Amino acid sequence: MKPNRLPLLLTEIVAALFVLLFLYTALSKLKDMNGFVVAMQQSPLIGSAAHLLSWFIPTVELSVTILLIIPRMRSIGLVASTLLMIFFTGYVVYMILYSSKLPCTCGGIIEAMSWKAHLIFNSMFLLLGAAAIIFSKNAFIMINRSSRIPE
Amino acid sequence: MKRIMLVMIAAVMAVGLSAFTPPEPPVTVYFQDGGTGPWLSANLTPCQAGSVQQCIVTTPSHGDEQIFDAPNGNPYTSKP
Repeated sequence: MKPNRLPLLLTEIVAALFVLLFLYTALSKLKDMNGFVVAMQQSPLIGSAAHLLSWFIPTVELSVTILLIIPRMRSIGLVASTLLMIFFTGYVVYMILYSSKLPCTCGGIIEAMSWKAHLIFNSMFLLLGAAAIIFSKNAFIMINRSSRIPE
Repeated sequence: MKRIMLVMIAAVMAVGLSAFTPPEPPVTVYFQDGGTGPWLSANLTPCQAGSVQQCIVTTPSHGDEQIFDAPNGNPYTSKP
């Protein structure tokens, strides 16, 4: 009997979406590093650490992308992606509450979003990440079961 | 191999999208050193907390000018 492949497929779709998001935003930030630093320095929350964060954030995004690409590391990558999205969403909430007039330092076309649109966008990815972690656990259990039970 | 296919397609799409996203005009920062004197402009000099009292940041992606007092980043309502 073949195991249900749906959880595995959903996990892979979410992983692909995270790869698209993190790789695109990391490359956009690296491409326009000066603009990224200047925009981040305006932030009252992270402005003082802008130079450090301008390299740290794209590096983390690229590292998470690599984890998601390697099949054996994908579960860790999904947890890391979801944690990263929690930080980003927390930052967006802070900006909406205290500095909503400031520009976003998101990278690429995502910068064109309003803060509220950005919050919805991040929340959706956060939910997808949480769902993928649950799906990946299910997928792992199913693969293990199917390897023990002969077809 | 199948497990890597979707993420690889996404990675290629991300690289392609990033390459074809047009570069934004530089962020211009106007600042008044110490809150007095002429307004100076710079592409890289930021309005860091404590360094200047008033600061205008032109943000191309939002298409508007925003004015902040440097210490806490609160926006002013109008351009001085």
